[in-house]
Amino acid sequence: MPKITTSRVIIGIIVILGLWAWSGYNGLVKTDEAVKSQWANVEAVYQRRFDLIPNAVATVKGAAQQDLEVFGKIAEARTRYAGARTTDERAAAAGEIESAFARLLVIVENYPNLKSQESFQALIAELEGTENRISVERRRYNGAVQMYNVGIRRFPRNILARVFGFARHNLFEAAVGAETTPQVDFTK
Amino acid sequence: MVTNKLVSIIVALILFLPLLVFAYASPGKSVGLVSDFAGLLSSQTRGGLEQTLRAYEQKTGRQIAVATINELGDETVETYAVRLFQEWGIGQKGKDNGALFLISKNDRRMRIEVGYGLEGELTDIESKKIIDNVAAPYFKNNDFDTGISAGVSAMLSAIDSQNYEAVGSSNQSKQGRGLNWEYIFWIGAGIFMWLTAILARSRSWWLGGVIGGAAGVVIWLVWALWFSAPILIVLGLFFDYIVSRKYQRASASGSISNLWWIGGGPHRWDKGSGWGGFGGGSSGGGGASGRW
Repeated sequence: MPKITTSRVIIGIIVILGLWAWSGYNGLVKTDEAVKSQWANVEAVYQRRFDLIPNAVATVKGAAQQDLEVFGKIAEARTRYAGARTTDERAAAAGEIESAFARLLVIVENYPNLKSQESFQALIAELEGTENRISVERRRYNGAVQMYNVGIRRFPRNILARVFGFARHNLFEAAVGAETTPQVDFTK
Repeated sequence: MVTNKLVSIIVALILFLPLLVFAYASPGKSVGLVSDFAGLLSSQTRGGLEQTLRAYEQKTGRQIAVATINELGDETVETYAVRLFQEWGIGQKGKDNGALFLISKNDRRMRIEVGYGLEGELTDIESKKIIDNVAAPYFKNNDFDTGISAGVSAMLSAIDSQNYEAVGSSNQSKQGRGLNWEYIFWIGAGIFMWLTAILARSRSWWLGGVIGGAAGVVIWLVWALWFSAPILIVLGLFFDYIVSRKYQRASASGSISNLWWIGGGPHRWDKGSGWGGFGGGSSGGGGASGRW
């Protein structure tokens, strides 16, 4: 058994710390990348909804001549989404598209003959599908973010996180007023 | 000490509490491509559907599943369907070519959940049409056999109206792999029986060791497991010893037949309906829901 000198002990400790930092850092990278990749999924379904908007507008506009201002709001929200750069900006812009859509659906209630059109029913099926996808991917995103956030806060990894600059990610939270989304039932 | 045990039981219960809070109540493992937990289908329809869907899987590699449950509990049909889809992993991993037709009996709701890979073929609009126009009318009359069968046929023809890549891919599902292993297993069983017959009748018990050693060397060469040789030699010796002993005892009592080494009553080898589970695919919330 080699002599246990002080210098050897110190070297041993440094090696152990190094190994720990190495695996700890890689662990943080892994969860961070999982968050980013899941965000890409969220953006993909946001894009899907974004692409649906012109179709939605076209389908409804023909019938809803009196309520043209809602289309203006939708166009605004769409432009803002296209211009958003950071993750938080995109999330906020997506929220605006949601409220604009909600308003659109309320308007449609005033036009019963629109509801029976096949093109409109197809549109609603697409919208429901897209909204469901958004909710699934957001839920998964929140899961990934939660795992990451817990990871950077736990001791002793939080020291590593601070050293290497791993910051918290934000969860998706329900937009204010989301509890009061208009209840529209198109099957009636 | 009683108090320590009590404390550890309480701690264990507390640790399990979070699990209780989860509202999603899994119906359990899948029993095939068709899992009729709510008992909505007659056994003929269920068998027929299972056959059709397995044949479809063999041909195209896609896993179309049907599941009926009694109730959703706290979940909506959308959240339940996507969780069940993830839990079972419907569709081949990577390809995500699975779809789930979920029916909840007491809630009177259904959903077609489409895996990522099939979203182009089985679109949301198609799914909605199948639910509203094909399945719902039958369900309203409590005719689940026809409703579910018609719904499945409609799903298959919606998917097939596009082109699909043919076989080869079907071997990746656990079901496909199950067949390969069955084949290997039967060959192995045959070899095993032949070996036992030889080893038993030999008076000595070193032959088992020789065979074990040979097999071990082969495994070593093919799979680079250097330790397999000594292990298999030992196992071979041991096995031969046991088998020879049993043979001697059995021949002493005069009851030899070809399968003398099987103790006890008749054994049934389950050849047919092996269900190994789904392929690990996932879905992203595509599809449509409806009620009746």
